Order: sequence, then C-alpha cells, then structure tokens
Amino acid sequence: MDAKKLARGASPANLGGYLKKRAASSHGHLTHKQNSSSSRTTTHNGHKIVLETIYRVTIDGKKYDLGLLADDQGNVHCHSLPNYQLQSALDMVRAIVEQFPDDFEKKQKKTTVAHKHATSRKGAVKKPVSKGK
Amino acid sequence: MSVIRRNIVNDLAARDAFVRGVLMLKNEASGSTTRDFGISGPVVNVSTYDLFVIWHYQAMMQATPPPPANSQRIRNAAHRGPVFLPWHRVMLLLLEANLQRVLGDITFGLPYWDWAVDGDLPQAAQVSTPLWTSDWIGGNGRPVTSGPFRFNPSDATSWRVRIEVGSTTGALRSVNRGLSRQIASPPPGGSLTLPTTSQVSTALGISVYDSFDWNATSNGFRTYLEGGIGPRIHDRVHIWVGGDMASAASPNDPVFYLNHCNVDRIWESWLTTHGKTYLPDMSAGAYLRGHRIDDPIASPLSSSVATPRQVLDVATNYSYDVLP
Repeated sequence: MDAKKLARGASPANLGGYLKKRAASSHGHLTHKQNSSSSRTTTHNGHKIVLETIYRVTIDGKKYDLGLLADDQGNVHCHSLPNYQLQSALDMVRAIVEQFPDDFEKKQKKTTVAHKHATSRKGAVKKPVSKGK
Repeated sequence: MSVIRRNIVNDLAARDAFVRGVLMLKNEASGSTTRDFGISGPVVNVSTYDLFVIWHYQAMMQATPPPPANSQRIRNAAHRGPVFLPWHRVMLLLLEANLQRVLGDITFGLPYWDWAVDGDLPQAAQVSTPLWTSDWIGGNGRPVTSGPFRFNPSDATSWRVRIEVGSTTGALRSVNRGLSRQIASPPPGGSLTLPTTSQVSTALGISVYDSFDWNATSNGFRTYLEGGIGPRIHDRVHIWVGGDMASAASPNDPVFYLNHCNVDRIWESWLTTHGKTYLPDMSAGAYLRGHRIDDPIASPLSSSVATPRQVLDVATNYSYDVLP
C-alpha cells in the first residue's frame, strides 16, 4: 500500500470527515431498534419458508429491547456484544447483564432506607447493600 | 518504509512507544465533537483515538448488503464475513500511521500480544502474565486502576472512556468513566481461558480462506480465526478480557490493537504458507458487496487504495519479527 496515500487517508481530518458522512447518511439508524427481530428464509422441497423470531426481554420487571437476533444456524447474536455467539438466548441476556451492569442497576433507595431503619433500631452491624446481579 | 511489528512482551521499546503514542492520540483533539457523529449524551470533543472507536462501531453497524436484504446478524462491513481480516488490517495501518505521526518516528511498528502463548499456560497463570501489570497495560477492574490506562477521578487527563455502546439501544453515547476489564470471568459473560498455540496451528492448516455462504459460520480459515466456528479464537480473546473489550466499542481498550495485531500476524502467516489468495472474487453476487476481492473496504481510504486485493501484500508497509 502506498505510504503517502496511507498517511493522507489516516489524518484525523480525513478520518473524521469520512465518519461524519457515514453518520449523516445513516439518518440516525445506527441502533439495533430497526433489527430487533430476525426473519430467516429458506426453500425446502419447493416450499419457501420464512421464520420470524422476536425476543421480548424483561429484566426486574422492565422491558428491554436488547437487539437479540437469531442467525440461520440458530445461534443468538447481539449488536452490543458482537463477539458473542451463543446457543441460548438466556445466556446472551446473562452476558449482557454481566458486561453492562450499569444499564441494569436496581434502584436501591427503598432498600437503603429500610436498611438504615433496621440498623438504627437494632444497632446491627452495617452490611453492604446487595447489588442484585 | 517497511517497519517491523514485534512482540510487546519481548520488546520494551515497542511497548513504551505504543503506550506513549496511544496516550498522545487519546489527548489529541480531532477537531470534531460527538454531535458531529450523532452521538447522544453531553457534547464533548472527540480525540483522534476515539475516532477509531467510532469507525469500528460504524463498520459493525453497516450491514452488507444493506437491509432488508440482510442485517448485521449475517455479516457487516468489518465482521462475520470474508472482509474481517482485510478491514482490520486497514484499521491497524491507519492507527499505526497516526502513532508514527505523533511519535515522530516513521520506524514505529505496532506491537502484538501473542495470546496463544499465554493460552498454553495453566488457567490461573494466564491472568498473571507481565502484560497485565502496571509496567505494561495495567490489570483488571471496573474501572482499571493500574497501569498507564488507569482511571483517576481527580485527574481529568487520566484514561477516560468517552464513547460507549448502550446495551439497550445499540447506539453510541458519550460518557466519562474509566476503562473496564473483567478478565477471565466465567461463561456465559466471560471466558476462563485464552486460545492456544495448538488451535492457532489448526487454523493455519486450513487451506481454504473462506467459503459459501460467506457468513459467521462458513467453513474456512477466516471463520475459524474470527471465531464463528471451532474454538472461537479471536472472539474468545475479546470475551476473555471482557468489559469494554467485549462490547461493540472494543477499541476503547488499547489491548484491542495488540489482539488484532496478533490476528493479523496469524493471517500473514497463512498468506505466506498458502499464497496471497482471497475469496470471494468479483464473480460473487452483489449480495456480497463489501466482501469481494476488489470491493472498497469501508474506510476513509479511496477504493483504489483499500480493497482486499490491495492489502494481501503489505511487505512495503510492515513485516512481523516472527510468524506463528
């Protein structure tokens, strides 16, 4: 590869300009909301088969669109963890919860208040508030 | 000028230059802000280093071909298809050029991390190699608190992740936090072990680069190395490091480049053994646009400069000290 052309192409201004154009041309579609369901198609014995898969995920009572997708081999894939390819959708959700703990932190307010009452009344030794993994 | 890429564990000069250069790129304003790229959250300046985070993400979200004919689950402009190795080769070349620029050293070559050597160690020993100490790239943590990329809340110049991917949106958002690693966590979120030299040898013995239907699980060297089949070689390294390395914004962790430099080194070994060949050629259908040998690679380089064919022979740019 020509070193001069490479150096010109590598400049922050050139790379930034390229990425801005890409972002503008995507019209804000660089999310997984547009692809939260999978549609797999094939033909078999002369029949056209369409298999749609939609994952509806609820964590701690709250619904999440995690962008889970099923590929033609039945493996579950996810945009936010691109290097994972799991046979179990449950395992994929577990992986997401582990790798993005801040996105799924339980609200601790009530627990904390109750805990304070308990400790002030009984003079118990303070325990760390559980983080609910 | 052709530079030599060396093992970071064996070459302290390469290590020190890599760390120094990465920190310089992280603190170099690119002239753009997060708003310019449609990134949600507080508007912040984007460093040159973080441009590469955005580039990786954008390429990953670029389905090839575009919806509705396809989606990222099948293949995208940088992963899950034949262009995986050429795209990352171009990315490394552009980062290397920027490191040479800020270091003022045209002889600088990216170092690599030969993770397969570590993968041959007992499981417990894999996490305690020199690489993960303060003298190299720091250790585990959320945030990482050791080494050159450690987080110091009272020091605004310490390493900060400024752009991340939200798990519930799949979109980039601006943040201000320390680097995250969850090294050798158990499955399903992590991986307890690294790939081994035996697995790399198996990959190098696969004579076909890639095959129909050219996706994440097609048979061939590329898929075996990327991780869609077999012991999940490249994917497993990302998952073993975990934290930011596991996400779609994985270049946030500088170890991303050490990993991919080693992946590229394995590809270079394959090219040396099996010939400078690539599949698919241009007779493949338009549904493989972006992955055929003369298709432009999704990059800021012109199509005459960056195609899979153009990066099969990089002897004028770099070589490796040792091939596996």
